[in-house]
Amino acid sequence: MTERRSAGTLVFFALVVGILLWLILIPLGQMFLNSFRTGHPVAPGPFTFKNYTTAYTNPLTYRMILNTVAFAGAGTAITVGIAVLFAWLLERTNLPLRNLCWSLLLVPMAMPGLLFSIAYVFLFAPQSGVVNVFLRAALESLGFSISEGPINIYSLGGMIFLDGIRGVTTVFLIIAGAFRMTDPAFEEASWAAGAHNWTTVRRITLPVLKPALLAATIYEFTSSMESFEAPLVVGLPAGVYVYSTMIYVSTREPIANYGLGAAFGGSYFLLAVAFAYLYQRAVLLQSERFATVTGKAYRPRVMELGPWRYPALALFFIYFLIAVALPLAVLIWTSLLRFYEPPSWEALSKMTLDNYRLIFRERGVLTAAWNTLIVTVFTATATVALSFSVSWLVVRTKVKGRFALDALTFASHAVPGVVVALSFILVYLQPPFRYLGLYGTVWIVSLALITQYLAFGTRATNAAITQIHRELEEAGEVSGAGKVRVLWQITYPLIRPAFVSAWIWVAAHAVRSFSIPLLLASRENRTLSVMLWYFWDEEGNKAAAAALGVLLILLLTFFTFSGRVLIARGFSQR
Amino acid sequence: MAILLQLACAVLLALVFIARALAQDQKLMDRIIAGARKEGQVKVGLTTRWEEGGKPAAKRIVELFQSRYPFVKVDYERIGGSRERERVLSELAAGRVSHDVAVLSSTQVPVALKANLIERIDWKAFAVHPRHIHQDGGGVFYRSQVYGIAYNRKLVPDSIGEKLTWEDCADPKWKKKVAMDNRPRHLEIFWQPHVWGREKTLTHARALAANQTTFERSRSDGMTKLSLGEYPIFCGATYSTYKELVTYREARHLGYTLPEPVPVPQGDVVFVPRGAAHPNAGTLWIVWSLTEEGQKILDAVEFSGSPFIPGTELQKLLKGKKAVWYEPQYAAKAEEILKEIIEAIGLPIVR
Repeated sequence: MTERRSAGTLVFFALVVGILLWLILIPLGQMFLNSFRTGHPVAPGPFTFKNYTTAYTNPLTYRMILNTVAFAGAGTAITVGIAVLFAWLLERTNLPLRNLCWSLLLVPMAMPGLLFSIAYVFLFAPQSGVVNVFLRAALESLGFSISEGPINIYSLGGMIFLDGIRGVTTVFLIIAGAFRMTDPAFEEASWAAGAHNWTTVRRITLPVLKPALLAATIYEFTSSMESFEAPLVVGLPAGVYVYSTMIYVSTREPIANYGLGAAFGGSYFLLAVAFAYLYQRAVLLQSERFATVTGKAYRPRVMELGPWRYPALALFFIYFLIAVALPLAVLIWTSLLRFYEPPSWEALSKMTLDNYRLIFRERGVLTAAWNTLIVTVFTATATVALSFSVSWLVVRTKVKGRFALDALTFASHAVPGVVVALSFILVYLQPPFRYLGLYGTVWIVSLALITQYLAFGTRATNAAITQIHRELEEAGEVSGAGKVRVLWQITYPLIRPAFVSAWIWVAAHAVRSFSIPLLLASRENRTLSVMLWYFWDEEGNKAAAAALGVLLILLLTFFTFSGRVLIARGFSQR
Repeated sequence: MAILLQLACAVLLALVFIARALAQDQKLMDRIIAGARKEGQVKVGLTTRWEEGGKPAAKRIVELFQSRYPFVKVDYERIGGSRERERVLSELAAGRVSHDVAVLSSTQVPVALKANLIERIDWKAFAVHPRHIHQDGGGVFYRSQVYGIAYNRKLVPDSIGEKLTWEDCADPKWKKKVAMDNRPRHLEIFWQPHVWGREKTLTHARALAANQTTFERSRSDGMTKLSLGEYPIFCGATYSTYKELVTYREARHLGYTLPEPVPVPQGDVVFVPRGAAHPNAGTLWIVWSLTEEGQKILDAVEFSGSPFIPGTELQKLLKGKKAVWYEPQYAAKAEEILKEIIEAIGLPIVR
């Protein structure tokens, strides 16, 4: 009986290993192979080092690497700075309207990065941007006349600003818990020794939270490194290239050079692996050396802001204005005009719902909506199911090589979306995988997204399974239940809340995903974000893109808040 | 007398050959029409939009085709610029043949032919003008373009705009004020020895880079930005894109000039993909689109009818102007020429 069970476990282990090799290692291997070949994957040329010599003897490459580091570094500094300030204000001070501020901080999640960048083009394009038009008028009334600007979103600075604002919610969610859970004894000791609030924050609170902040910073830096939307929308027109756009441009325009893209992808992957390793180290450091949550019952002491209460509250509203209200307003405005123009009394008379009619008439939009639904549901379900399988093997079995399985899934975190997509193109356009017929379907998009989200999924399920004591499952087995029945009737109900929140996290990211669906887009598998880009870029129809964007934001707002309700219900069942 | 007799015989012989050739053409055409009638359907993917600014565009072409061949139902879909075509190429390679008529850029055709993705059809047998046949024979250039300079009249008055030359595009006077497509086809044509030649073209390309020219990834997007005033001049703008903006989007503040030499690039290649479900109907569509009727409706819809057909916009525009083409021996090296130019203007795709 035991032998049969362990044989079953081994077969299951082999199956999971096979799936992971198929999803992660084979595409990456193919990408490295293609980096040594010239020609199109459709008709590959001979093996050569030419792609590497081309890529790494060109000064543009080094400028691109510097751009990437500057973009990710400065963007991260802005994001972490704002997120830390907000986390401290919300968790440790007597800021008024804290619940409202918490909700306001979640709203930016409903605006995809692509739309955020597009909206800021309408706001800060040097000539026609709404804010620039008003600023020029204001300056002119003061006697200063300028022909363009004064702000130019098409620049490295514009990219950094967009990325810096976009990441705040995620980093805030990562560090808010650490602020809440910190033992106040250290701070109380500081106050008792006569230190002021600011001195206590600077010398006690922030150093105690250093590991959490370090982990959040490295996480955000890695995310910024693979950020694609802002570099595509405002970086490319300014000739500012970063890794993600360099790979995209290499494989798409004006002459597709997949080998060169793969050569860039290789070094990008290695750089990302290095940061993923640092992140892992930072997280370990946090859990081992800085135990700030102890068994003692406590309530963190709330700091008095005094006369700064309302100025601090104003900061939230300014952030909300920048992150949501202004971009949303300009998108709504544009969507109501046949052709974009800055607000004026004359433009008001041209308002129309034609763009919304166009959206609903365009059959591609309905197909894209259906594809988005399939991709979202399948990706979230399959990621969570696969993550659970991996975690169960790693945490609950003693199969040899199970830790390699864990490392492999975590390594997928280091593969940027653009690299995942490129490697999938190369695998599924060439034999033998070409014969699977996956290229051009929604399934290839889903598989690529699963590869990208697997690291998150396994972290969530590893933690959930570890929390369930083995004796509960053993009791089930002693009572005669098989492994599958134990899993379904004992383990699953206990970890369901973690399942639900992981599912929602993956679904929320899949529905907004852009780089993978764009690179893998075909006639049949376009998602809504790809369709939006199609209107913006290919059709040059800014107004239709804005109309689709407004509808997408409505959909995502519903999704974000129902997700929160579902998570709350999931946890309340525990 | 003997000479006259010999001449008459020669003329008679020539007439017999022509008559036979025409009969063969007609026989071939009849066979294609019979095949198309049997297939009853054609899926067409082309660059023309179904509607432009709320007015019918490709729709008019489809309606005219269906009035001529009512037994073939047309399913139309737009395939956009180079990125869209890269997608089409990949889909064909993956065995997903969605169209009976599809479009690729001329530089993609050799790859598609090498991978055996294009149905080999003898387009000469259908009396297609040689300038409309791709040098590798893989497909035909179904529409014609000319490249000129578009400008925003709110920022550049006509008195200056109308006199702009190709050299002005790289003049420091217009530093940071000029935009271009990131695939500058007009420079490819200038590269040929009988036009500007390699050295002058690459020097011009480097001057464009030094002038901080904006290189746009999408011509439609670039022209929209020109219309919004993001920059005053767009060098290498196609006449059809300019005319579409003026006609369909009422962008009357745009101006256009055709400096000499006038490049007449041929980039969009239509073909019947190998494995197409309705190859005869696809061939019929392509052959019809190159007839005088097909080109005139294309001209009326998107101002890109053949300059070899009297009365088209391009035929009128090019009258008295020095037009330059991509000669086949250089068109065959288009990718290499383009790479040199792109390298010179400082875009990241290099050899």
